[in-house]
Amino acid sequence: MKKKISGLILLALTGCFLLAPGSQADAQVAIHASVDKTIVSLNEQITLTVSVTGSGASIPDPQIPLLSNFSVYSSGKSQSISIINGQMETDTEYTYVLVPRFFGKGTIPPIAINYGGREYQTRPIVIKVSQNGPPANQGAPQSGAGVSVQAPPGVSVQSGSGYNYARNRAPESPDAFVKASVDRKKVYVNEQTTLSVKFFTAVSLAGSPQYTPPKLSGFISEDLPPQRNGRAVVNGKTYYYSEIKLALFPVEAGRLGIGPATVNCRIQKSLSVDPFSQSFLNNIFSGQLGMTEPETLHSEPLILTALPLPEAGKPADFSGAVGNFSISASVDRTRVNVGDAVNMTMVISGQGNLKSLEAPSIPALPDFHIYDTVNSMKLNKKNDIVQGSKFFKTVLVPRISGTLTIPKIAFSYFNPKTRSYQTLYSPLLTLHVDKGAPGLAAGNASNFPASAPQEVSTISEDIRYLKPYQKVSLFERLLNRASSAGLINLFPFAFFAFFFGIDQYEEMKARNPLEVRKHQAFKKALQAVEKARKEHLSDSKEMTELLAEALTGYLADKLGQSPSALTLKGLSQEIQKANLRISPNALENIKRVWDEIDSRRFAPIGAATQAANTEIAEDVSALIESIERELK
Amino acid sequence: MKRQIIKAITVSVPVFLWMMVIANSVFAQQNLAAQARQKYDSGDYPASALLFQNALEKSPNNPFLQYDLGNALFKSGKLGQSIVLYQRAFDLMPRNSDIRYNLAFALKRAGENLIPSGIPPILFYIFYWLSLKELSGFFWLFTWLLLLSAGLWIKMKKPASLGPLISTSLILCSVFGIWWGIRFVLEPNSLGVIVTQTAEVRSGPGESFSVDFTAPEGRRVEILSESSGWIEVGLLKEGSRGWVSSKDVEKI
Repeated sequence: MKKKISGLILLALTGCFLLAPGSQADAQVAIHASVDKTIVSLNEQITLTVSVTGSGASIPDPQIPLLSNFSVYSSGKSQSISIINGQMETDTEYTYVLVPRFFGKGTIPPIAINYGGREYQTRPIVIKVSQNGPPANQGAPQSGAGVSVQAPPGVSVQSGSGYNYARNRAPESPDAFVKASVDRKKVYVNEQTTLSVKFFTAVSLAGSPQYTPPKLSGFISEDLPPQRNGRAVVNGKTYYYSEIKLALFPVEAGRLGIGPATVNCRIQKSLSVDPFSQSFLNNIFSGQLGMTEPETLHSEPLILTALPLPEAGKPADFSGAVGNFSISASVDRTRVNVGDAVNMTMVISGQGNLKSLEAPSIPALPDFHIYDTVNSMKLNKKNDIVQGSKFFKTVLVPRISGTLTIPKIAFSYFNPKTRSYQTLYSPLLTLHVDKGAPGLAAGNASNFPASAPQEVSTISEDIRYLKPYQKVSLFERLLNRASSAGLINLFPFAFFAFFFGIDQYEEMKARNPLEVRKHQAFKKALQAVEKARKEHLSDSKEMTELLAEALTGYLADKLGQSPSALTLKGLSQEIQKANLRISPNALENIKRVWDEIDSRRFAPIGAATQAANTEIAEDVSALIESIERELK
Repeated sequence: MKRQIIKAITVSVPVFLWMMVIANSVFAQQNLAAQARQKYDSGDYPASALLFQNALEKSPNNPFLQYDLGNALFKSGKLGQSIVLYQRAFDLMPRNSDIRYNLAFALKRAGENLIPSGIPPILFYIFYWLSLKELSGFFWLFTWLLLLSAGLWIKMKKPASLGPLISTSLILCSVFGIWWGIRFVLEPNSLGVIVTQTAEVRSGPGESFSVDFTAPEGRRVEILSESSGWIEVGLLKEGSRGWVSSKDVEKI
């Protein structure tokens, strides 16, 4: 009721002032433009304030020229009226948010106002846009510091009248407050949670409130326009509110803080309005009815828990995608020539942080030359859920002809609803590649830096093909046999050793014939005795001759003498000379047998019998054996 | 005359029959190899491997059949088994470039190099131009030649005409003997290949011993000793040793 009265009085007074004496021609008007900063980075916001001061009524709004280099957002206006010595003066401030769209120097041209047949202009303002400025904030009017928010509907921004609602400063139900909340306080890394910042006010505001978004650490944010307005009853009090929503995606696990959101506004002072009071007119004339009070409102900071993604079951190709997605793939044509470019498009659609979505890795395609993948995105924020499609376009140039296939491409993501990883596969794509005309391949792919045709490039490596059936050659088999011949390999050694031994023996014989005679004497003598016994048993003379030769030969060989030079008389001396160790007994036997042979040699023919021959042969044999034993 | 004919038949029939058996065996091998090639070309690698295996049983020391079987096994995804066959073929015919290439290719898949690092390939090729058996065969061949010619030289009262033959034989016999000796010393006495996907190498011959490390399929190992179903192996590349189940290793 009180507010309604205030409104009526305000309107009545405004009408009185409009009908007050004085013409427009006499009115003085001044226009001034200023910006909060003249050096900015691309996408950083500039607040342009155009101030129009005049004593006239019905001063029109300034004409903002075409600012093609800026995105312009109107941020409202505020007006104050003062009456001094009966002279009314209005001061109207128009606020605009400009976002540059260029690099370098740009100018905000003069802003003009036509009033009373005259044009009033501001001075041009030079803005320098640098590339290396501070990083741009996301979202144009909402995310930059000092960005204005639209006043809640139903809350009038006073534009002239000094009257206002009475403010109720009861602590339990403030006139204006800011509240921030999230829809879920526990989410997985890279899962969406929605932050809502609501500015509630139950009183009128002067000018546009300035909204400073909360400081976010460890999040990727995505604005969720539009700004929503409404009316709500809080603690029995009716408020109008403006709501800004942000989609937040935690980038790391742990407890993450959301700082307070801030709204700076000017709230009309609460004055009791009693038109019958004596102070009423004093207030009017002192201008106190139109005075405002700056107010800085903060929301409570929030803590959100970002859960880490489970390690169990994490696919090897997982690259951090969280949400619910689908994948498709296609090529723009399926029949091409070698060297022709084919566009392969993979589309991942669904709900989740599509901006951070990485392209699924294409497996090695040795049959293709693969160029860089280019991506684009189509976002939609229906029901405040970030969703849409991301397109990954890759140019493939076949290097060989034939039916080539692009294998299924895997894409893995974590679905927070099912709390599990899921892997999707794109369909198998088949291309029919013709050889094309000679030399055409490079020409068709002229837009692409195909590898130099004169160079040999390895497409893939594989084992070599089968060998035609062939037998192992005879020579190789011979070698293998030779290596595994075993004892047979001893034969050449034996062969060599045999002839080597003979050679050595012959050499020895040549070097020392007496020794050889001595060595062979026994064998030779026995052979002679045996021959005499076998061949001449009945021929006493011949046999005796042979036995005599055997005995004298044996002794001569042992003594190193000629058999003919050896006599029985000189035998003892010769034995002593030769140092032969023959016992006297043996010497006696030698003499006895020698005599016996001599007597038989010179006896008449036919006197001896075969038995006597055998006996004498055995005697000779026994004698030689006994001498040989003694000499050993 | 009749006796001579009977004698000729008695000698020639067994020779003819023996030749028939040999020819039949060669024909059967060729037939099996041809079928195996057809299967290989059609992409039926397991069937191709089976047929090559049958052909190889008839001629187990044919390096070309071993190579072909290695190919079929490689294409069937049996890396370890294929390396066994390639290595056997390489041991018989190391100078064959196809055998060498496929062995090196398969070993690379198993994380090993055929040519040890730091050794120029040309030296490796020369050193492994002949197989161990061929080296041994050449050594014995020239040893025979040397000893027989030397024996004759003695017997023939050392004629000067045999001098070049003896000295050449001596030089070649020494070269092949030294070459063979170096190869014999440098090469592992007994080589095996891991044929299961991953072999657990334990500190002792039994499941009760701890697993020290694992060896991947296709890795060549030196067989050091055996004990009731377990084989002590030394990994050539890493220089580690341990025990693996005998089913994990196939001897070359």
